Amino acid sequence: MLNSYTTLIVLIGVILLSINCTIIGTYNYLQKKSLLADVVAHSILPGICLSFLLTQEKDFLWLFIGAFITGMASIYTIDFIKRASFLGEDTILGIVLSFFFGLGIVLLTYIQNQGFSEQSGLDNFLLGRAASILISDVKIIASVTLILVVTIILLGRLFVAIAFDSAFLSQIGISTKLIQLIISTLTIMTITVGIQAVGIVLIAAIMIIPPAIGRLWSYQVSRIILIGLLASILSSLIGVYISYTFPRSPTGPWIVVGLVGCFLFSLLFGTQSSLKVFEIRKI
Amino acid sequence: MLDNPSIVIKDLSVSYTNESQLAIEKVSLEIPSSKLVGILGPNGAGKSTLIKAIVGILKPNEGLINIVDNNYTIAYIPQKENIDWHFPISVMEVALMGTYKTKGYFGRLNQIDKKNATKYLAQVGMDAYKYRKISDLSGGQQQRVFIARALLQEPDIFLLDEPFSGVDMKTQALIIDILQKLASNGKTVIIVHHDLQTVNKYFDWVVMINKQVITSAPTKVAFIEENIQKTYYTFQN
Repeated sequence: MLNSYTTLIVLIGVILLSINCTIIGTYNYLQKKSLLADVVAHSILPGICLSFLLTQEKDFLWLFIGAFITGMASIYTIDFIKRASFLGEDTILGIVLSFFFGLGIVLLTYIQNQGFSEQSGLDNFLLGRAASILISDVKIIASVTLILVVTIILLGRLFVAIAFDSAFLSQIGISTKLIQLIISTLTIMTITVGIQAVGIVLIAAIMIIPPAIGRLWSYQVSRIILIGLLASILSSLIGVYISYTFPRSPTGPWIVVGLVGCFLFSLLFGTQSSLKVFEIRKI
Repeated sequence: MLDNPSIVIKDLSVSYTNESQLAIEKVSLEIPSSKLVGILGPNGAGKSTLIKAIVGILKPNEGLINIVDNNYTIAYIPQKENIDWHFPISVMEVALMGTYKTKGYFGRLNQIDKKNATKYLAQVGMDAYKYRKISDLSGGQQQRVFIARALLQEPDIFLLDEPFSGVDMKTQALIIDILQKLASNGKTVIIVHHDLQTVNKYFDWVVMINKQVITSAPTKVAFIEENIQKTYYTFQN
């Protein structure tokens, strides 16, 4: 299947974006904010639609700015409701997700009914279409990969520390607000470049499942990321392969099916899983 | 007035997080240096609030906290309940966090840091466990890892929030021994403490509070029936 150049582009794009999702997803997982990534993914839709309405083109930078504004707005709305009420976190996440996503759908429907010349492809944002990845998209996804890797090399230990003991960080004079802002920005960036291929509805799965798989095998953050990467790259290969073998079969959902398969395997056999069906004894 | 206080607090009022109600009210006291100091009081008396304000995690509503020597640094050891013990992190990684203050945002950890971490882990008898995950440790061992992290910061003042809760007597003795050595080397060690049975044995100085200060004095003078009654059995308004 790799004889075609376009397939290769799609495959590279999907693998890189799985790498992005796994890396930033692991730090969200450590902060017990996996579900927040899902809320943010849904909340960037109105932002993307608004910047399309304003600029009438699908320029990555403008789409990202729009995504950033409503994505951050969703995070701050959650914090605000948390402080203003005694409602549980699950309720608040549910409310904020549906509000922003609903708003996004309204705007998206409006755009589709207007018949803008550049609009084609915007509806891909909902369920994703990996086949639509172009070399220019791959370049953008790869830049985000580069930004992520460099940031993790520089600040990774602080990303772990804020999740483990944030009071300690503030006490030694490290701004937890700044670190949190960096993590949120990277999350929104990763989602924005990824939704065209796998869609808003499922991108969070690629952020949530790989670290869970890694955690079932290791308690070291570096290994959790590596094992998560292995699972997400494998699932990307499966997803792209199936969607090419059976045309009209979507890529994103197959990636998620692959990930869930890896997750079930890890749940049964993972060394850190309490099930540990076959325990490998140390010799 | 003390001859050599390390911390002087004046009219300090602090409210609970997200609430207007005051946790401590107009607290004034002096904490001596080179002493093992116990902070005593019933639940909700504001013990944790007081030390969190000293560390700077909580902002005071009013009043002053004066660390007498400007160059003094503080290390804080949180209550066990505030830590997720299933977090994927090893003993060594927790200890190494003690270097983060000097490393700032972009500093890299190196072999010297790891050597230092091992040295301080050895000091608390935990070097054999350095590659274990923290969820494998007992309550006392977890506490010792956090003490190693504090030692790595090489601070002048140590603040510990209920380090002995859920720790057996033998391990308590081991930890107290470490802390007493620190105090005799000129460090100020402040411990929020719960168990009245061990007060005489552990502390040189006690601060008894219940929203307000009942007493702050050497253990022999302060830890008497009258003050215990006032601290634990009188409602403060």
